[in-house]
Amino acid sequence: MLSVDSIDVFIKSSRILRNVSLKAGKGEVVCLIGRNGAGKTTTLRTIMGYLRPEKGSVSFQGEDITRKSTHEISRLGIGYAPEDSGIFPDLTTHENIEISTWTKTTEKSEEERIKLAYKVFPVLEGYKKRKGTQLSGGERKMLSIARALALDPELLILDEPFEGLAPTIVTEVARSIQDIIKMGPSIIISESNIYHVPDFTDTLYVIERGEIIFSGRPEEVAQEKGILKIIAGTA
Amino acid sequence: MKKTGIVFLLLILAFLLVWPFIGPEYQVYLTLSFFAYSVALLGFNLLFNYTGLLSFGHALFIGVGGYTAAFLTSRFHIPYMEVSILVTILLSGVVAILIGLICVRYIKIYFAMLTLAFGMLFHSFLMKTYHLTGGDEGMSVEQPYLLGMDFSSMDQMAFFSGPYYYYSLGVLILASIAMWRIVHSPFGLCLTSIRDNPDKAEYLGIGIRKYRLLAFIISGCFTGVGGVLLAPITGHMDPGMVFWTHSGDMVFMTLVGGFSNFFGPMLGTVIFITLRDVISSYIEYWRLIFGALLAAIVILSPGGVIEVLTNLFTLIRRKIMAGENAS
Amino acid sequence: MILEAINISKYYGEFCALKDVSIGIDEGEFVSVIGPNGAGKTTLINVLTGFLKPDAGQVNFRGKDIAGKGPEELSTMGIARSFQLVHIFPELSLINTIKVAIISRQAKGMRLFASLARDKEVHEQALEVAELFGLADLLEETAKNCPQGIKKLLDVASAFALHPEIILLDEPTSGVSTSDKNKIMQVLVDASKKIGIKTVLQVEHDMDIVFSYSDRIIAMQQGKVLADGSPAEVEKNEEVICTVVGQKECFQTFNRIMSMNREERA
Repeated sequence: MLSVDSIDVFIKSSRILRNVSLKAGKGEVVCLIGRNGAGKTTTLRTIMGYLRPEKGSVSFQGEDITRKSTHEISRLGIGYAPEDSGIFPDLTTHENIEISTWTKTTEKSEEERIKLAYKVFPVLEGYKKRKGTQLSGGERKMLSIARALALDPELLILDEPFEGLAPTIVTEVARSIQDIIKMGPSIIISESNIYHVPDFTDTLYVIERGEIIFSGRPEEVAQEKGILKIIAGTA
Repeated sequence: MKKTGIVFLLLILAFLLVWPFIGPEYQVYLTLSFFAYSVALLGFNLLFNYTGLLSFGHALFIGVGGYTAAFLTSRFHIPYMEVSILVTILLSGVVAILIGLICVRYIKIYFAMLTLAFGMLFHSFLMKTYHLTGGDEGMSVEQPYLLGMDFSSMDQMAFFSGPYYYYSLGVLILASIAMWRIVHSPFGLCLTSIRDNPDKAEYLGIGIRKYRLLAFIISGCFTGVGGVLLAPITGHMDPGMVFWTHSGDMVFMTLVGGFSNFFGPMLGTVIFITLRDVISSYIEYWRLIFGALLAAIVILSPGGVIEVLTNLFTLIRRKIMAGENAS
Repeated sequence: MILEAINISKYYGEFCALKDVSIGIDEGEFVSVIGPNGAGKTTLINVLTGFLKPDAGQVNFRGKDIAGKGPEELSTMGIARSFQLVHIFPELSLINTIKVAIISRQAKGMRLFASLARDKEVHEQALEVAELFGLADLLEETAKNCPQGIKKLLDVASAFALHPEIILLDEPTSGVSTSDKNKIMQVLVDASKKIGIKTVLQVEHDMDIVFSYSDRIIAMQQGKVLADGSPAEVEKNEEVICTVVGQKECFQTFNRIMSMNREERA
């Protein structure tokens, strides 16, 4: 499905990522965990084509997308919900979701895709007509995921989907993501809070100072006291 | 300022001091416009770079200065340059308060459009009040007394490349020192903070409108003084001086030179004045060439020519240092 | 009572963000406001700090009505805040960011020709604040180039530098990784003690932090106050547990691993 092969990424003259490799199979849920500044967002932004790796490659469904531009990558079927939500402030909730259906046509009809987005996030249905600026932080987060979902993607990339959310809302969003998993897309989630690594994670990658220092099933990391200490501060 | 910077400035200053003796008369005369515009741009850039407000009507203040000099010298026969400068500072201040009170409520494109509108308003005022300002024919500016001294017995070119040259240079140095202090004062830091994030600045207790207004007033006064310096060089003031294209020229000089550097706009005036002189002697459409040049600079080096030069300078220095280490 | 909101309501169009909310903060208290997203917590802070005007009700600071006063005036009266999404001056160095606050506090902003570099008083006080927040090694770093955690600290540090009487923190640890959350809170608490800020009101989602640092917890939901009391009282309120604290149903793996680790250490 998606394969990131030993990429090096620089921003200005400093190396942010070193030899990062990551794989997400069909229908797999991957969680990328690391501290602030470890390189999570940079990895995701490189997949989305906002940044170009100096070395290595990114391929999606067998196709090399390393040099493709962001809008091309998005149209191949990768939905992206950035950390800061990136919703359009002057558009209404509904328009924000609708816009995804215009950029890429899939087997599903527009109505079907919009309906699906509301089904996963029922709260948003009540805010249909409110503009982006009038939404609270948590609502923006949900809208951002809903919008990526309406793209009907094969792969969904969520950058810190639980950040700044109240515990109950975290659970709510997690349940929504669980619903999305049933629809079949692969999902990559980045997370800085170890308590927010969802149970439905298939593969966990731990990133520290731009390098992947662990990958495996979530339970396996429990044995690695050193790695736990890095991500949680205490072990 | 770093040591190399000070050395560099002193070298330039030394050059400017001997320039009238070694340079061709006409080129020395062009240097006068450089002094005048540099003073004007010190004001412009306080708003543009340090406060984050793009004024597209700043030629208005050049007009205030220029017409003040014209009125005083040819209408009221008060030839003293210092009087012109003081009256201009006063008038520019008053005009800036009146316009500023309205303009600083807005930012970005709205501020630019409002200042443009006031500039054009002033332009049509000068055009319509024929009996007062001579309308489109304008007014003449008489040769001023400098520090109370009358130089009318002197040949005009000699006056420009002698007393007036050093007088203008003196004003530019004083204005630069004053502006340098302003941008490095607590007030200057507060302006920059407002530019970067007005909401946060307000939460830190900075009254953003008050600061923007004061910046606008100071900016207007500096540009007004630039206008006074410019008036005797052209010998004549007409409404074209406050037309929006003239404001545009000021924006152009600042961008070409590099707005984020204190001395960038000054470099911009040198480039602008020299190029206009050279190109317009070959083709009539010098603005066409200028447009292309500006586009090239914005695309290739948004920091302006001064950025290219400083980068080049550090590169060379690094090379030299690397060479020393190797040996 | 230092800060008090009496029956305030706030509407965005037809949507009611705050409905008849009354809260009071006593001097010396550390109060946490919790609640689901969209409950009106940030709106409450915006109203208390003068950024938004309430549509109804009154806000009192030390018994004086402060309705209609903007953030600038309130900050000089002694109310400061930090932001959920960090607010910094991107192009300024860390030390200069803090200096802005100190210049403001000492009312030196209108000094046009004074040299900032030679103002020892401003510099020393800025340095002091930077040291309190562990930023002393990064003084000349440009704010926009700093990692998220540093930006967060800088936002708070510049608010602290005002030496306010009360500080309102909007999610001080959001976006901060697990390993740094407690560190940041400890820095905040120590700094407020040293500077002499006695009263803190924070909005926070991390329940571990809320319950271990607060004297009092105010739980909000849909623009209303759901509960207001000591941590022990709020912990027993089932409605709050259900709507705010929540179950950790989707996140059991690591909660289990971490609590096992904790027990091991104990």
